[in-house]
Amino acid sequence: MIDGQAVLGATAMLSSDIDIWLMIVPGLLIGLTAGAIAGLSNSMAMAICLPLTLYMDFLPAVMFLTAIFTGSGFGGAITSILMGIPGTTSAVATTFDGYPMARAGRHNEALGVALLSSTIATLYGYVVLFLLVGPLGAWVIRLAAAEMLLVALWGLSMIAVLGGNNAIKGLLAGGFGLLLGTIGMNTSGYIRGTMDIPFLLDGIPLVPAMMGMFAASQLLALVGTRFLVTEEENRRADYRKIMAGCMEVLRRPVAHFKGSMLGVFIGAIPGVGSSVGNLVSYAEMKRNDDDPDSYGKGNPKGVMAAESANSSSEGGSMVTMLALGIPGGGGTAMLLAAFTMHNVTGGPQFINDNMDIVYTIIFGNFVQAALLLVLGLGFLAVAGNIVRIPVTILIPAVLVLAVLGSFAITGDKAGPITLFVFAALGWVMKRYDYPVAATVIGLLLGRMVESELIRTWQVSGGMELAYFAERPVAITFAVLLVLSLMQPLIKRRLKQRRLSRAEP
Amino acid sequence: MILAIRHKMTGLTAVALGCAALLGAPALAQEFPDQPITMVVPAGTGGSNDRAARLISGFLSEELGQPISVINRPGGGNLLGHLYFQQQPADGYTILRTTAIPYMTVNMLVQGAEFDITDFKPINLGDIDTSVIAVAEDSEFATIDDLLAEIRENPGTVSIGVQPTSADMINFLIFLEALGLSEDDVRVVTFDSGGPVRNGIAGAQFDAGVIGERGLRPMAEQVNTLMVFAAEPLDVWDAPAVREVTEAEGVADYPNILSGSVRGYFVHGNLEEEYPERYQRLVDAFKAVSESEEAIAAHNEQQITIDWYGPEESTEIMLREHENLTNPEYLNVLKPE
Repeated sequence: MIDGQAVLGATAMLSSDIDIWLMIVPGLLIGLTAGAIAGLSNSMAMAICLPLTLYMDFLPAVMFLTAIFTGSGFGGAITSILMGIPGTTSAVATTFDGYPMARAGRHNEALGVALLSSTIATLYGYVVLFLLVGPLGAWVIRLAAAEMLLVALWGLSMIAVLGGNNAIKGLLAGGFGLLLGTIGMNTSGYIRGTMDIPFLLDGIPLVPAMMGMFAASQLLALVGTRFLVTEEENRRADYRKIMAGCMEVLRRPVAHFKGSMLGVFIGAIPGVGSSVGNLVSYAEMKRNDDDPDSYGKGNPKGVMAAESANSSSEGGSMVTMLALGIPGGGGTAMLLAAFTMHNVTGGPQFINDNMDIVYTIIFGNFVQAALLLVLGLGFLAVAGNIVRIPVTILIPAVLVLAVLGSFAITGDKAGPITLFVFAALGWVMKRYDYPVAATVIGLLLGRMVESELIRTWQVSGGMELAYFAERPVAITFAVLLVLSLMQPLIKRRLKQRRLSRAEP
Repeated sequence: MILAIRHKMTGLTAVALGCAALLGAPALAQEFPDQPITMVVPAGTGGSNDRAARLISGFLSEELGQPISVINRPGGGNLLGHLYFQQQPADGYTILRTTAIPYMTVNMLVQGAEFDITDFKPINLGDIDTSVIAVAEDSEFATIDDLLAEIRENPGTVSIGVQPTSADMINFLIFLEALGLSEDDVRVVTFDSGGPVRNGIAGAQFDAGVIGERGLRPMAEQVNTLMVFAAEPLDVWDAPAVREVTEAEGVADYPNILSGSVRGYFVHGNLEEEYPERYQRLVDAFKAVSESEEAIAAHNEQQITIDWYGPEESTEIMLREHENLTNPEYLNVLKPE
């Protein structure tokens, strides 16, 4: 599956053009900054920089854009950890343990975990792309509504994980989110719950709603405190602690690998992508753990699960773009636009004729991953200072940025309005102790679950079993999903048996 | 603020124009445009309208001597972008690139938008799509006859991927009805936009798809087109035209073939009346670009169509297809009960 000739061609191409390398550092820095600003997503940063690439050659242009992609993958973790507000949908699960760690003064460690998880996972993502670009692309596009539905449900199972002590409140909050997710015009043309507000036809703007809910619940909880981190000596950027965080990842190569692989394969499915990947990975990590109760309170493994999955999904999302010319999400749509600007069309023809270019992009991204580690360390020294800002200044600053970010997303007042409405909702939920995150996940996945359920119903002629009998992949996914949900039960049973055997 | 200044400027220019007309000095009329022009795309970046808008704006700005900035206002089946365009002043400084049919019709009749289709004046609808029935390259259905045979033998088992609010859907239902079949004899699988339908065809996620043929062209290797909804077969696809198929099936006269998506460039409906010179200037610029060899070559390279029909014929096409869609018989297809 690896084309030796093309590998040689790619190395020749990489060593011949210095421009390819010069584009990586600025790209990564733009990505890191954009990712760290709540509301600026990777695709938006790429869209802003797209016109610049017109003046570059094709390979430097692609390298520049993929560097933004890579940088923002990690940049998103910074707001998630330091402020508990995910700037993008793919960093939701990072907040669950990252923010509690920061509040406990372990932000250096959490950022270290996130940085190394992201770096290695980006590498894994591109290794998979390198090995499997053709076959994986052909496989992924065959996943139909039934399979997509199961993947979305897998992500949704996260809601059950979130409930914590009050499972009923978790389920209620999740169900409420799912209902909110059905607002708008659905896939068969029915319009529901839009209250005659035009922008709701497309559903509730996800990122402003998500930022509003998280911001309200996290920032309002800070009222009365003076700093994010209570102990003064913990507020400094401490490289030893960042390194300790990095070591956490190296000590758990298997768990990290699993999270990364989930990210790649889920990220490769067009229209699903990294926003589901990080949730599935987190839920899997927690269910698998001997001590699931430690999650959500500052367990570095939770940060690792989320960050490995959202970073490796970059490689995954490139699969369909390169192999089939189909963008899987916003970021790859921008890359594809850059391709067309340079009169290059992705697709089977492209990878048959230009495997050396594909490999050049992949190898260039290996280098990006390595450089991300270096630049990321430097970036953390600056970003880590957020914990030294008094809360009285931090909260208004974050709110202003969130309002601007939400405006940037929708381009009109719809974004800020959504932000405020959901901030109010988030505050009420927090006040009565409902998990805000469960509603956010319901909202994120509601539309996907509904659309795929409708299509599965339609294509199977009203859920006729004969249809599913011919879809072995769907059956496998379903079995895996059930097994994964039963895992805590099985584990408990085994433990009891072991205990009862040990006692007499 | 900027808008206010623009209004003031246009007021002054109008006075100046009036004086110029009295003095018999038509040269001043050529001064439009004297500031950058905005082209609204009611869809996201990277889609067919966006790519076309960005491509033509380079040539157009050379022609008009002012830069053209493309802005995206996606959402609600182009509705949000259409509303945005209507909120801008009708002074010729905002133009629109969109898929007029079926979206304007659907906006009006299904989504309850308060504009009328005549609030949009087409300058050129140079990109008219054709609905086709297509399957995955390795599908068991090699011809349209195979597909029809299966639909007749096992009614209600063949799945068809389609956008529910589209001319493709209506074309397909007219076709079924002409053959004595109905919607209930197939499993209609609905999608929000064309991209997932095309992916689904290539990935055999359903048995066959009905979709515009333009977007399928870059995927020609992964799909096989079984039939085209046109009077005559098309050069690009090796597939029979719908009338050939229905004639072979013994259907004497086929009721109606609808165009697929109709895309192109628009100004405000009252621009021609308010600023006839500006309107003419824009029409001339579009015509010059549509007939320039360089622009045509660039469009061909990206597989974007740029035929010149002009405002009159374009308006005719738009109104005709709008009428077709608003036919009460078809409208209930678009409008869920």
